Amino acid sequence: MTIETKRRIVWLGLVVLALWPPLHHAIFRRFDLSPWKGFGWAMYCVPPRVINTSPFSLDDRAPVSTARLNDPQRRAIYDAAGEFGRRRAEFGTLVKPDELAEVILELYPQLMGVEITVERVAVDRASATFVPERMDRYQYRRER
Amino acid sequence: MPLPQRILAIAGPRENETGWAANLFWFRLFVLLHMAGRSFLSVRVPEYDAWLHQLLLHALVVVGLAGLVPRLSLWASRLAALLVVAQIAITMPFTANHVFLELLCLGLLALLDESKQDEDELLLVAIRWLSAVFFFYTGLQKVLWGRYFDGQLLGYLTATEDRFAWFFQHVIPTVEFERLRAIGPPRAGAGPYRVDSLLFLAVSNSVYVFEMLAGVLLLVARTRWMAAIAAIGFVIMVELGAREIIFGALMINLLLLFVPGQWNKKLFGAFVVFYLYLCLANRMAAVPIFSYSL
Repeated sequence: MTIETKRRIVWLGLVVLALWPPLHHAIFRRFDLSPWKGFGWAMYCVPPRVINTSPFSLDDRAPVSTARLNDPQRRAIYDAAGEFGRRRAEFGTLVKPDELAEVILELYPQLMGVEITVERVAVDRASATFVPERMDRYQYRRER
Repeated sequence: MPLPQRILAIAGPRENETGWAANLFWFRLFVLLHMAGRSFLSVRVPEYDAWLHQLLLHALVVVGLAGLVPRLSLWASRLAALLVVAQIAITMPFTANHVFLELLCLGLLALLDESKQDEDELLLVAIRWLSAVFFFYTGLQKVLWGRYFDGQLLGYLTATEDRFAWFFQHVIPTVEFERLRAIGPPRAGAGPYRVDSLLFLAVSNSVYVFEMLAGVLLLVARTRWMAAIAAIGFVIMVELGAREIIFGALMINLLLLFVPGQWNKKLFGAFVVFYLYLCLANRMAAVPIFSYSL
């Protein structure tokens, strides 16, 4: 490889390096992704977000209670919710609670469907306090 | 001279600048040492226990150490760059930004050979631009995300993390410090993380101002070495709180490439001792003062 080719590669690399952070900012805001990741040099820019997940029955809108489940079943739901929350905090709206819904529908055969609300809690710029900043609802109906 | 070349040349060595050519060789050895050390320290991280990741980490240690033999260092850099790409591929999107910074260094070291006369200057220029762009954008991103103006981010870190609390207890008035530490875990309503202290606000706002300014001043020939020394001091200050000293070591070596004299060479031995110490402490699970984050 000639020095000229290498020079072009370096130049191109630096241009990409300089263009990526503004793009990173726009993309990560658009899809609600965590700015800490993705090589946009935006680590330590915002406090980590908290994801709260709540499942409701689509039949009567009541919260899905885990009271009647045994320990392994309850753990299956908590694990699925925890994994979803972890990924959602990083990937934002690109991650949907499909697997959590699958676990819930499997454990509650009487449910016609489940709605999962996903709340993102983050530090508000003005109040400097954790506030719910975004709420998304995902509905899953049992296939007949 | 074409525009790209003129832009690249901004970061080139001054006419009377000495030591930079030798520094590049020692920087290469440092990056391989850093990669081996980071990988060794990552072996016992529970999230990395998958066999493929373990295999990669062990390979990175071997390649990094082999690269410390001068005649193997170029090929070790090339192999290491491929291995780090593989590591990033399996850790996405949770990969730390400093691993990517390491990959960029390895990529340049794989592409360019500092022992060739026409490549050494290009390598220096590329690494300097990389450092300057990195510094500038870390500052700009803080401005764009807007959690430094009232000290929200640093207040949050002080409230929730002992490593930052240890540092900021000397900056924040006692009453405010105790209030922050009593806020508890992050949840709706937790806060406020704003701190009633002019000194704390000054520190918070000076972070992004300094980073952006350093990014520019590192490129100006006249101010370059002063900016580099100030930036090294800044990195050390940040690491007193963040304790991401692995990243700090990489950053300091990048910045030493802006300072006249063979400082990468002179300090290489100290960094060998530093990584040996970290690796030994890691295996003995001791010496908490050198806690670090990977």
